[in-house]
Parts: sequence; structure tokens; C-alpha cells
Amino acid sequence: MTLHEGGLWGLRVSALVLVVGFAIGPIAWQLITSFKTDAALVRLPPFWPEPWTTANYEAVVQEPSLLRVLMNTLIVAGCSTACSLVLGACAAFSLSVLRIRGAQWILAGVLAVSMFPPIATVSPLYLVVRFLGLRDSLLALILLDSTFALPLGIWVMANFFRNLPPEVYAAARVDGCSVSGAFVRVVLPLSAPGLFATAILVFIFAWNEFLLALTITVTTASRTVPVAIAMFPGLHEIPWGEIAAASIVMTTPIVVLVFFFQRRIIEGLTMGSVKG
Amino acid sequence: MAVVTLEGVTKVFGASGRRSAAVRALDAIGLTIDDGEFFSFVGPSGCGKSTALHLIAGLETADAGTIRFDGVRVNDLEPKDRDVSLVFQSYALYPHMSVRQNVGFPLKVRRVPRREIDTAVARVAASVGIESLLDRRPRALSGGQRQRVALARALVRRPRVFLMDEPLSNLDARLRLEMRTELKRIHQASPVTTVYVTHDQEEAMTMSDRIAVMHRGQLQQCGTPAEIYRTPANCFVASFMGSPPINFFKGGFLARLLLNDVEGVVFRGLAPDGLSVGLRPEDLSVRASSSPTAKGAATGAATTGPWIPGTLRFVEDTGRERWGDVDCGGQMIRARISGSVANGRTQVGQTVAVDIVSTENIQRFDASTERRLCDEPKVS
Repeated sequence: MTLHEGGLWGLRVSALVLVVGFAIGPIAWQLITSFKTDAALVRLPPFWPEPWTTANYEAVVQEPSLLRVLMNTLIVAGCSTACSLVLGACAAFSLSVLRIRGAQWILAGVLAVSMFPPIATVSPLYLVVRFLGLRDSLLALILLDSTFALPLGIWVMANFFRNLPPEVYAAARVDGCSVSGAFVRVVLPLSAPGLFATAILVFIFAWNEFLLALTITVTTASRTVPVAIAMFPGLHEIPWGEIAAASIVMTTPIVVLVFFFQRRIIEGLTMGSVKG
Repeated sequence: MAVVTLEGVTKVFGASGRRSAAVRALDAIGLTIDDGEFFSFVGPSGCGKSTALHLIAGLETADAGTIRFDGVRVNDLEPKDRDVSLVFQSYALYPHMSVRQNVGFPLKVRRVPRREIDTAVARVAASVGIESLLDRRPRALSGGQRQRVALARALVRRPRVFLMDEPLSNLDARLRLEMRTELKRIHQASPVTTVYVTHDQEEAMTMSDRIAVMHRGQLQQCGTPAEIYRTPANCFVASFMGSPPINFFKGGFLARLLLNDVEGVVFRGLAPDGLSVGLRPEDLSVRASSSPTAKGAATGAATTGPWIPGTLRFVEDTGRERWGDVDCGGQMIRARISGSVANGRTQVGQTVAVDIVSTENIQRFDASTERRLCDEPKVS
């Protein structure tokens, strides 16, 4: 190894360490924190917990609302994903495969709408939700999360549909499918990787959504994970250790879910249709 | 089976946007495809031939004109209601289905009972030789196998019109020849009206009952392969059909030719400036010539006809035939190198004579309109 190569190697490794550290640093810190005693929390640098404790986890698990909150979040994220996937796929299909006049303008509009900072829309949305009598309900959260996730879903799926070989759709039409038949029988199955990708993105968005959930939920009947963590009971001080433990417990399901779906995304389903 | 009629069919792309961007993909096409006929659209890429096919299939809508099947207007019918089948250049198989499901798909969509689908799939699979592939996915097939599956999917029902969009262009040369024969055999066994699109003039010539030559969205000529080859309607058709391509002579070179023996045969009563003359390479023959100026003094007794002196520049050997590019005073002429010269030592740079072997197939066009001039009685 020449000096030059060695230098290059060192550069690569340090770049790698930097990026990896940046990405998993906060999570690692959180994990370490969750095993620390209150006294050890403030010690810097935040390395190995000394002594180890599982007290934080015990406190979280004993928290009576834990299951309820997890279920709430699961329902909200799941239903929002289903809603925006169904609506978004139909919209994306008509905007990409069917040649609709001004499709580009509609897509641009969709993107523009999603650029509003959520905080600007929170107050009017709160009024609407209260008017509909949906305050502190899961339905309100599902509706709002779906709405906010739709632009992203439409964009991702429209892009995916557009990259499908157009002959396959045409073949389905000639072989006897109606427009919707070709969509369901051919376009959707071929787009499975894109649909999974969209589903994961929307699910994560809905799972982590904080601002709307904080505004609309009142009790644990509809509280979701991010809100619950923020409102973790602390009488005299902020229970950082328990918050860290709660974060770990409540993030784990989504991490598992993503790992499960990731394999489906990577599967190249479109291979072998057209030449090559 | 059906008679397909196009009446003034026009398709403009990009018409909704800026006017300058609009492209006339098809310009008032009118023709009739007979029942059971094997009909080809041929032309260079972008000539509108695929658009014509998509219009017949219903995948595009015509901006003007009428498309009829058996006299009934089908312009507003959905593709599924036109009862056509289409083989795509890219095959367009459904990658998420097995070969069996791919082939049976057109029947399944039409709610044909399961058992009938199975027998139909088995029958068509046997006829194109893919029985052993039925349980595979398209991605596990070679190009030729995919091609056969696409064909089977189109043949599984009896459509009124069978459409093929450059179905052989992704195959290698040998397989292409094989499939050409196969397609002809299938068409002869059950003569469904077939519309075939290709850029390969040889494919069109060998397979079709009739050919429509297209160029820039316009129909140049429609006729049997022999008609199109022997009496091309214009310079484009003459140059597009035939390989190696036809030689054109015009202007000053033609004027010089008139001083040779050629004049009495071909150009009676016509001024050379307004004329463009086409001669196919197979009607010309290259022979060695000792002296470029000594007219008629060269070898052999069979050289009494008209001939053109020149220098051999390139030789293309196809094995069966040899073609030579001869520089005749600035004009390149492609001609067959025949007989003794082919066996002997024709060398690049050699002085040669190009004999006009057959004067029957000399094509004459108006140089400005490029249209064919009416055949006149030839003077011998």
C-alpha cells in the first residue's frame, strides 16, 4: 500500500465513521440513556451506563396506558396508510398512465399544497375537527394523517407507474381489460414494490406525527406514541431515562416492520416483461 | 375476421400544446385491408406505421377520419370491444404471471370457463412449441421464447384482426428467419386478417399479400410486393424497397449518360434536367474493362448493351453475391459483380465497366416532384 493509497483509505474510513456516527449516534445515545440511573444521566461524555439498570423499562411497562397508546398509533398509522394508498394509487394512476390534460399542473398543485407548514394549518383544522365533533377521536387523526400523507404518496406512486413499460398496460387493454381492470389486474401487481415503499413512508409519517396528534388528542383514548412520550408523567423533574426507555419500546415495532417490508421492496417484480 | 377500412385517418401528436410542436403522425390515410389478408405497413422509424396499428387497435384515437371493421365504424370502441389481438415489439408479457396465465389472460378476462381456457392454452402452446415452458415466469425465458409466448397470447382466441408491431425486430437474425416462416405458416393455417408493422422491407416483401409504404405520416404507395418493387410510385418507395438500394441518376451525370448507348433505350423525348432515373443494383453488372474510353471494345460478346465506365471503389461480399460500388465520374453506382469477374481478381481501384443488364426495370421519376413518370412504350 502506497502512502497515497493509505491516505485515501483513511479518508474513506473517516468519512464512513462520520456518516454512520451521525445516523445512529442519537439512537445509540437513547439506548444507552434508557439503561442509566437518574444520577448517571447528566454525566458527560454519555458513554457506558454505570451502573446498569432496567428500572426505566420497568416503569414504562407498568404504565397502564402503554398498550392503549401503542394500539392507537397502530390503528391510526395502519388506517392512514390504507387510505392514502388506495386514494393515492388511483390518483397517481390517472395522473401518470391515463393521459389526462394538465396532469403536470395537477401534480405541481399537489406538491405546492404539501409545502404549507403544518403549524399554519393546525388552528383551522382544529376548528373543523371540533365542528365535526371528532375531537379526541382516532377517526380525526386518520383523516388528517391521510390527507397530509397523500401528496407524497401520489408523487411516489405516479413516478413508479410512469416507469412501468407502457406496452404492458396497452397489452392488458387489448387483451380485454377495461381501464380499471387493467389497473387492478396488471398495473397494481407490477407496482407492488412501489406500493410497499409508499406504504412504509406513509406509515412512518403517521406513526411519528406529533403536531396534529398533540392538538387533537385529549385523553389516552386517542393519544399516540409521540404525544404519549412527550407527556410522560414527571412530578418534579423530567424523567429522561424513562422517556428514553419508552422511545425505544415504542419505536421497535416500526423498525421491525420496515425491515420486514424492505425485502419486498428489493424484490424486482418488473423483470422479464419487456426485452432485457 | 374482418375487412379493415381506413378513411382519411389523421393523428396529430402534441396538438394541445404549442402549435409548432404538433406532429402529424398520420395524414389522411385511406386504404382497405381485405378479409384474411396479410397486410404490412412498412417505412422508416417515425413514419406513422405503429400509430396506424395503435389506431386500429384502439389504443389511440383518431383526430379525423373513420376506421371501420366490416363497414361498421369502430372509432369510439374501446380496445377490448374491438376484438383484436396485438403482438408488441417488446412482447409486453405480464411478468407477475406464469406463461400459462399469460397465454390464458385474454380468455380469463372475458370470463371463459376454466376448462375451456386450459384446452385453448394447451392447443396454442402446442402450435407455437412452448408446452414445456407453461409453468415458467417470463423472466426465466429467452428472447425467442418470450416472442413465442407473446404470439401464443395473441393467438389463443380468434380475433377479428390480428395486429403485429415489429414482432421480430428484437430477435437475432437466424431466429427472425425461422419466426418469419412460422408466422406465414400460422396465417396460412387460419387466415385471420393480419396487419403487420415492420421497418424491414425484406420482411414485408416476403410475408405480405399487400404492402403499404409509409413516409412522414403519409401513405406513399399501397400494393402487392411485386407492384411496389417493379413500379414504385415515387423516389422514396423506390429507394426504401430493395436491398442493396436502388441507384438514382439525375442532372449532369444523366446528361453525360445520354451521350452513351443508354439514350435510345430509356429517355426518349425527355430533357435530362427534369428527370431522375432509378436502376436497381441487380440490373447492373460490373465487368473488368481494359480501357475506360474504348466503348464496346471490352471483353466478351454479351456486352453489346449500354454500359457506363468507372472505377471500382468498394466490394461487399455476402457469400452468395458480391456487390461493388463503382465511381463513375463522381457518381457512385452500386452493382452486382457477376460471373467471371467475381471468381477472378476484381480489385478495388480497378477500371471497370458497369453494364445495364436489363432495361426493363428502369425507373423514371420527375426530378422535382419525385413522382413516377408514366411508362412509355420503349423503343428498342
